[in-house]
Amino acid sequence: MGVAHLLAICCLFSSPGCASRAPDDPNQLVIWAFASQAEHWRADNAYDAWMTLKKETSLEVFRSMSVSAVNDPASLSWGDYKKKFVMAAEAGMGPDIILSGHEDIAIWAQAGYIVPLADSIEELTARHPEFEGILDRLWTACTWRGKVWAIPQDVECRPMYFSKTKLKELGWSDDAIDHLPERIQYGEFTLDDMIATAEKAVRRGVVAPGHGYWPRPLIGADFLQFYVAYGGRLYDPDLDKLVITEEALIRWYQFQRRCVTTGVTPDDLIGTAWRIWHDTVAHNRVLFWNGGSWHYADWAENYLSDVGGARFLREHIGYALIPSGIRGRPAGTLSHPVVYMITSASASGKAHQRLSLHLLAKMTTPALNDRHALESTHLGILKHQMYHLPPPSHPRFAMLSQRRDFLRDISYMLRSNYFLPNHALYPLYFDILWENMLMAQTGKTTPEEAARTAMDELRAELGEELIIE
Amino acid sequence: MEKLSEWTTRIALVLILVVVTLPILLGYAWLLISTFSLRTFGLMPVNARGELGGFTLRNWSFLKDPLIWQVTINTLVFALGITVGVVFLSALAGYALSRMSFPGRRFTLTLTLLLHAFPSITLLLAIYFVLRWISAVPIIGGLLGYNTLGGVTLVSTAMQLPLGIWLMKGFFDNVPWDMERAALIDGCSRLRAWWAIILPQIRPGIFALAIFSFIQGWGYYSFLIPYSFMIDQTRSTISTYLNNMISTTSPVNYGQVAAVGLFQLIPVLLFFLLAQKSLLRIFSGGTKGAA
Amino acid sequence: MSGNLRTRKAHVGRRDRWEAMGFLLPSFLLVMLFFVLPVVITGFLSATDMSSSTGFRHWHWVGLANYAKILNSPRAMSRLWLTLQYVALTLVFFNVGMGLLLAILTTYVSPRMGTLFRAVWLLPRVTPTVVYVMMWIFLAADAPYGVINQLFLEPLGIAPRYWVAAHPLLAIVLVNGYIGASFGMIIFTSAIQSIPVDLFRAAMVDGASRWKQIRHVVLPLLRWPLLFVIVYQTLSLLTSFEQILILTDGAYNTEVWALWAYHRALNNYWGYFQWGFGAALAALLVLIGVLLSVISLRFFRLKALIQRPLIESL
Repeated sequence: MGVAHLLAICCLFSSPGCASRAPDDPNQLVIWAFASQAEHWRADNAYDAWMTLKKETSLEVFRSMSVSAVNDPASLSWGDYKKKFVMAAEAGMGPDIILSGHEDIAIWAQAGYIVPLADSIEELTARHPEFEGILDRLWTACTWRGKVWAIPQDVECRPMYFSKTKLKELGWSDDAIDHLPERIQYGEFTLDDMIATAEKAVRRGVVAPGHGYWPRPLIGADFLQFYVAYGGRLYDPDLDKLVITEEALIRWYQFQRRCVTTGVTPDDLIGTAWRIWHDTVAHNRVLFWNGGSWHYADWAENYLSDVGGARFLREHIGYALIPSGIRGRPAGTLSHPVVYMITSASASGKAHQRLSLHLLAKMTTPALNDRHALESTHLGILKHQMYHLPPPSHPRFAMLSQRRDFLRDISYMLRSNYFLPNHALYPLYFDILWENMLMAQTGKTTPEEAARTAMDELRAELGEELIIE
Repeated sequence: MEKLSEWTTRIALVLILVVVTLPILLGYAWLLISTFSLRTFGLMPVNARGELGGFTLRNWSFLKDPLIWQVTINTLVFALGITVGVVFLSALAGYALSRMSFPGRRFTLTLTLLLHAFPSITLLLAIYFVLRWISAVPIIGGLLGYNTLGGVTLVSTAMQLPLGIWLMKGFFDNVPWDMERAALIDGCSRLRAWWAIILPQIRPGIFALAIFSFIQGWGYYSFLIPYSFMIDQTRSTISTYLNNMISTTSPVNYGQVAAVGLFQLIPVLLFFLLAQKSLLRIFSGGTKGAA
Repeated sequence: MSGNLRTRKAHVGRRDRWEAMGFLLPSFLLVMLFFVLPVVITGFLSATDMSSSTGFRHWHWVGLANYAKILNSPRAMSRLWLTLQYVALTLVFFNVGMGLLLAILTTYVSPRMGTLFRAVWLLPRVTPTVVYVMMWIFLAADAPYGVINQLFLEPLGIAPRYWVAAHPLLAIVLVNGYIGASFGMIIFTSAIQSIPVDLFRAAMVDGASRWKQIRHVVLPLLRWPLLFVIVYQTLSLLTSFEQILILTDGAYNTEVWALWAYHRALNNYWGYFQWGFGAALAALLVLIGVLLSVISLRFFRLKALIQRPLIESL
């Protein structure tokens, strides 16, 4: 039970019938996070950091202050969580620190909900040396128009999973299976090869029809990975403009359609319930599929607990980068760091911005961050975590050692990752690409036609903000 | 002979009913079964190998969470608040529309029905603005503004008013006005006549509307409106409590979700079985008027 | 005597005016606050570019640009058509058709049986939407999870699949219809039960069959409740989207107009909200709703329904 839960229960008994805590207590530093139970440290780390801060500093201001970290379990999705934040911020009832995806930086900065933290990374680390430990490339995701707007909280990657045992059934040698991730990494095994392999597996009955390759069953940025795999570019940070590469767009849509026409993906996969999707892939019934690194722990605990959990996964399932669409071109993966942002005085109704940054510095320590990474199978944000994660010290962490192996295995992916654009119109850009991708994938229009419509819509919607290649 | 054909027709009717009801029967059977299972294949609880098994009681463990009882009470307060509000306000307005002559009466009646065309749900953002303006009013703002239980109750009450007013008007139309006229001629005030003479006569109708409002408040309205206008939603109603379990960040345990769903059903179902006679009077007012 | 009556009437009329206002005031206030004002605000919003990235402070007037964008959208027409199909099918087959069927059937079977079935049909209405929709998803799910595949199709040798994806329009009609039917059921049952028993007895004495009873006694008396249910439920359906939101979230071309508006303005994957554009979508929906109900009220002659107030004939 986390501190937040304890606090919640205390509140419950002290104020029966009252559904909201005082949101505008001026002496309270409020942090909102959106997290599953496994990710509760996103919020709860603030309490430990607060203790450290109180011990280390003798500033008078701390005496009267308290911290409230709210892990929001009631919002159904990130979208709804963000809606709640926007509405609260407009009413001046927002938190002091908000956790969200880095793609919100540009949007919320323009709307005036968040404040810049520093003019450069050097300035930031000079003020708070704790931030020096953060992986250099993560700062890309926290920077917009030359300023630093956020502190990374955790990061993940979105591997291509594959079934080792199914490949073996297909006649692959152990050696070939072990080297698949490497071949994918260097562009020797491409998306075309993947479809061909999956087709063969379906034809030979190794997997059921339509079980050769499963993408994510829902809307998500994961699909952009194929656009990038075919050489597409998303964003130009120097000009702060979105980019569309027409050639890559067409080839991406063709890929989506080809998955369906070759019979390796069902045409109605997108829309499948998560429960069914997870249950199917975790039980080794699909040859290739895309998921998040955070799914791994979920499968072990919630789908496979009675067939051996992590052991079952080790035995049957492998993971690699997203294969390139172009032979010889290195593979990559999309990372979507979750970041802490500090809200403006008008959004929070308070002026705790400097104090908030202090607190974030204390939350960015190895001890607190390792704990979060291990328990939630997210990748750490700190340099040292690239090479070794500490062995689980606490007895409660003993069961986590298999997760540590998994994290260690995939940490190399953070060298080939890329991020979503920090651009205020990115969501519109994505929506257009997504809706037309669906048209192409389900065969409502040809991939070429869908790409044409997408280009027209992008031009109309984004105008000056778009670079066409 | 006649008896027999009577019986066969009856059986045929029940059969038709069973067939059209089948999706509901199967669906709730699945819900019930899944609350006691780790996972299901169709109606069969299975273990991870897909064989019969995987029974569990852990989906019901939420009953030990003190929060569930807190939100149950909150939902009750919320639904009762709506019920009282809807019945009282529509009894007032329905009376005026049924009994009194004033300019714009016909327009008001038509408008009341048309109000339903204003999609409350798609107007959520606009309602947010209104709630924030209410928040800015001293004293009242803290009770009925944005992020207050009073505010969400008020919005939900308003959403149900058009229906309530129309039904109430129907009930009043049906009451003969001899007693009331006598009272009015004797100098009794309209308000007093309404309260002391007419309301007791339409008690069954009031009861019916109250039940309907309560059911709507307990189920339908206890979700989207508190969800949109409360900041701390976990502790507002059962429906928003349920969100804990289906948020996209967490693995969803469908058995547990089903269990909470059934838990929320029980009181309403009991209530309906006890009060269905009254509920079915909900429209008896309107028919005579048109006949 | 007659003069006396006239002054009395005038007196009552004037007093009525003020008293009526008193009676209507509380409802009037709520209606102004939560219906009329929001519609006006929505109208204003629809003429702005307000979105997540402008906040509520840095927006601009854009005139009718949002409406132009809707007209130019390659998806607007198909979504409008989908919405109309969905509303019409659900209304005819469930909210009215099934409601009437249930009302009649539950009246003619034994009272206990009638109560039981009515209670069962009320379940969808009182079940939290997420749970209710989840139940449909698992009824229709692909093998081995789905109930329909397991019980009916596998024994018949029909290939299993996810039936929501196979017939999305049918799916959204069914899921909404099974909630909507109970409204009609309650209204119609209550109307049937208020038919004086004498009428039935007279029909029986005349030797009318059960069907003739329904045709000549029940249905004519249901005209008014029918009208009410049709108008009320048409509007409900036009603006309802919660079930579709949870069932498909607009996948498989099930993005009805109201869901489109909700997605744009308040609920989407990235949490990027286009309040101005969403408001324009909502405003058009209000317009369609008002038009449809005005037409149907004309068609059913509303005037007959609004009888003169009793007290006026004093």
